[in-house]
Amino acid sequence: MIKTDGLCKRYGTLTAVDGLNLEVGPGELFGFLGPNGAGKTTTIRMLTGLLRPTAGRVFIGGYDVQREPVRAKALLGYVPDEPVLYEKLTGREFLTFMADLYRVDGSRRNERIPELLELFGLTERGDDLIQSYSRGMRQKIAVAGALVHEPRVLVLDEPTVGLDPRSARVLKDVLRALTGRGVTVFMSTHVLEIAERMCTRVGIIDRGRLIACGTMEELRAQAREDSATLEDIFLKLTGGTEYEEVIRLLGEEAAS
Amino acid sequence: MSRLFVWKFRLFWRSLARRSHVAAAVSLILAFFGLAWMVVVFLGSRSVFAWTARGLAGMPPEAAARMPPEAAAMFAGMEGLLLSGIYLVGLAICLFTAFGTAFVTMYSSSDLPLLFCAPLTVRQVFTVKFAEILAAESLWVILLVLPATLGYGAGVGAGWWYYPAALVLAFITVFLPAAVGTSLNLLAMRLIPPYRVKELGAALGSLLGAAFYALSQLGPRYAAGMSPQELAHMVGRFRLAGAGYSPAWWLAEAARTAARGPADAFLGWFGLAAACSLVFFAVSFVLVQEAFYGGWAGSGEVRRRQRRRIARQRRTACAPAAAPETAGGMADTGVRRAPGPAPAAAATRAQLAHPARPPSPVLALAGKEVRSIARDMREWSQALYLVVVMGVGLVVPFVKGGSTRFLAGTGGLYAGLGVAYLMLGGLAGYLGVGAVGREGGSWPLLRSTPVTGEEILWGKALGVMPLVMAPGLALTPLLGLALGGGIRAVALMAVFVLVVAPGLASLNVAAGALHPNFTARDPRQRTSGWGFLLSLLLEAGYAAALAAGVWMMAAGSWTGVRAWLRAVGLVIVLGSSACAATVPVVLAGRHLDTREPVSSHQ
Repeated sequence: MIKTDGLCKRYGTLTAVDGLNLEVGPGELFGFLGPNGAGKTTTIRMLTGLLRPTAGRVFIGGYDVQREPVRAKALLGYVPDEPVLYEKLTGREFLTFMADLYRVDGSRRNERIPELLELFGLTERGDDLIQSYSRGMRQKIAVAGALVHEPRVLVLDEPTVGLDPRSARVLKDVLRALTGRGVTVFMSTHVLEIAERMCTRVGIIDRGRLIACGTMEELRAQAREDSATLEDIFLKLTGGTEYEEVIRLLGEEAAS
Repeated sequence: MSRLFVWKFRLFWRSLARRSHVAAAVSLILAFFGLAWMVVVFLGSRSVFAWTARGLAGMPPEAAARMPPEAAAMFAGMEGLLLSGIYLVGLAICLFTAFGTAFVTMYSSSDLPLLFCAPLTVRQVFTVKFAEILAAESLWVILLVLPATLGYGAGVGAGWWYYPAALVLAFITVFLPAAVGTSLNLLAMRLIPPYRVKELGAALGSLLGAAFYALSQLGPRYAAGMSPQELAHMVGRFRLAGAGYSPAWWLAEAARTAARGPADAFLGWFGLAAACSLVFFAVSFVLVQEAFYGGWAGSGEVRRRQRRRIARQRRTACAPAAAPETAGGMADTGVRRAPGPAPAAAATRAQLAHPARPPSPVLALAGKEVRSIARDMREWSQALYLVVVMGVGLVVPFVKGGSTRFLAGTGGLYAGLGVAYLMLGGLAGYLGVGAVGREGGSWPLLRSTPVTGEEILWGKALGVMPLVMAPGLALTPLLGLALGGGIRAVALMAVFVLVVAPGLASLNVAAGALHPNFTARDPRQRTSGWGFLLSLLLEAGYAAALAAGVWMMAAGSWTGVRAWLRAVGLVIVLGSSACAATVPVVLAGRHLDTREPVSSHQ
């Protein structure tokens, strides 16, 4: 459902994404990991047609995002990293607005919106302006907005940030249920436990290059550590283990 | 708490002293001008009050004889009236600014969380914050009320003890509005949710500014046509400052008795003003505890939400019986449901609220645009401000001797059409050029949906059109009547609004799509300078085409040899309006689709 072919993005001399080749099939929950500034958001923006690749191509459901953007985007649901929404719409109006943008049939829309509001615990606040919502509620309504048209591909950039435990659990259950129905989920996250437990495959990007990709077993094999957690693998591949000695010394100083 | 005061004073002093040489020089120059201003006010006030102290006896006999009885009566009480006017101006300015200062100091100050975490009581924090409000407001009184009242003392030859009394009265002039402003602010904190307070403040500022501008421009023009008797009669009707219940009057009487009268009379008037101030201070003292610790802030909004919830539950109870749960949707995702009303019932409710209609991204965008602008008090109040300023600015040059009726002739009608075009153009420019930039941070979300640039701009243009057309249709006939036009002129102006408003909305929306800066925090900075320039050029081009068409229609006739001229004029007017409404949107939509949807840093 998602295919990238030699995807590159350059800003002057800076290469944000460098020759990314990726394929995510139907029903897969793909975790996209990487340190800050590695190129995750840039990749996601190219997948959703928000950024034009310097080189390479992106296909969603077989449609080239650059050549047939409307058809490709119609299959897609996107949750941005920062839930900047329309402050002067109510939650219910926002979902109606999103449904209309995706041309969801009126009767289907009227069934779907109360279901989503209820699912994310927003029924009581559905008629309040988004302006009055907390960060977590904004995140929830953004996720609901991405689900309102029943997308075939769901792209989420840090979806669990700001969510309360119940909503995070609901989101995880929804994502599992959607992948069970053949929906492709592409999710970037910094919460490695979530990625380890939920994702069928994980890709790790560092300095614009995909440095590892596969199931947990495949990643362990790549890292040559049989019982390593995703965190161990991530730190080994992207750096971070060199600070362990400093942290140990700081701990000893504090204890003495 | 004394340490907190010292720190606050140290911070204030540092904000003045630790500046670059240029900023320090500017501050010194401003201080010098401030001092010079105070001297001028003092000298002016001394001269005026010395003159009023002499009364009618000081006037030339023939001038005193010519004076009408109302004016003579007014002149006799002029000293008290002027003095209470000075205090009224001081109180009004302080009250107007104290509300905003109290909001910034009491509610949205960045050091409040820090102070409340420190071992200080709410009263201590409140006292320090109130002192900050007093310090901020005292500038107006130091510049205006204090030199004027000191000048009064010098003018009437008051004794030495008048001057400390004038200082105390000046303090009351700051203290009273600061206490009232703080109380009102704390009341507003309950009624208005925190996220709307700034919006409301900006809206009130715009509306008051518009009213002040209209009064300042039109008032003197109308007053110029009045006789001295009419003027004296009008001033007598607006003697608010002289009313017995006005604190300005109490302060003026206190000042007069301090200058001339017995000390007990002074203490009476001063006590009245001070007691009033202390009552408001005590009210805010009580309210502030509730505001910060008692759940007062925003509790009005909580109540409103509760009322809405009850109303919704009642509606649900009245809705038809819920149908069995539909297949698909969340039902087949296997996700556990949270407790709450049955979704089928909620769906029925939603269907009642939003009847099923064919989905249209363009109409959805238009609806969103209308809601976003209509619900944002800043947007419509600034639009109204613009309309008032433009309307008054365009009409004032034609006001002669208090009359605006210049639309009677044919030439007047064309001038009226010009005024209507400029007002509509201004409104369409304000709402339309910023329409794309108004998306701000939500632009990436919009561009991730299967909607083309052209559809986005059509939606925005359709959303802006009724917002331009509705006030245009409401105001233009009023303007036509005010300018002395007949029914025919008013009808023609209304038709003109209907014809040109869509074009003006579309071409301004299209111009605003030229490189907007979505990352700018201030929505006004999201429109590029080129976009604004393009909108002006497009409006000017459209105006030229309309002017040519209207001129040909006026020069032609419906019958005879010159009928072709009128027909061509009509074709030009309608054709240029159709082009203005469509072509820019199509071109700008393509421009949006060819450029990168979001910038790298967005």
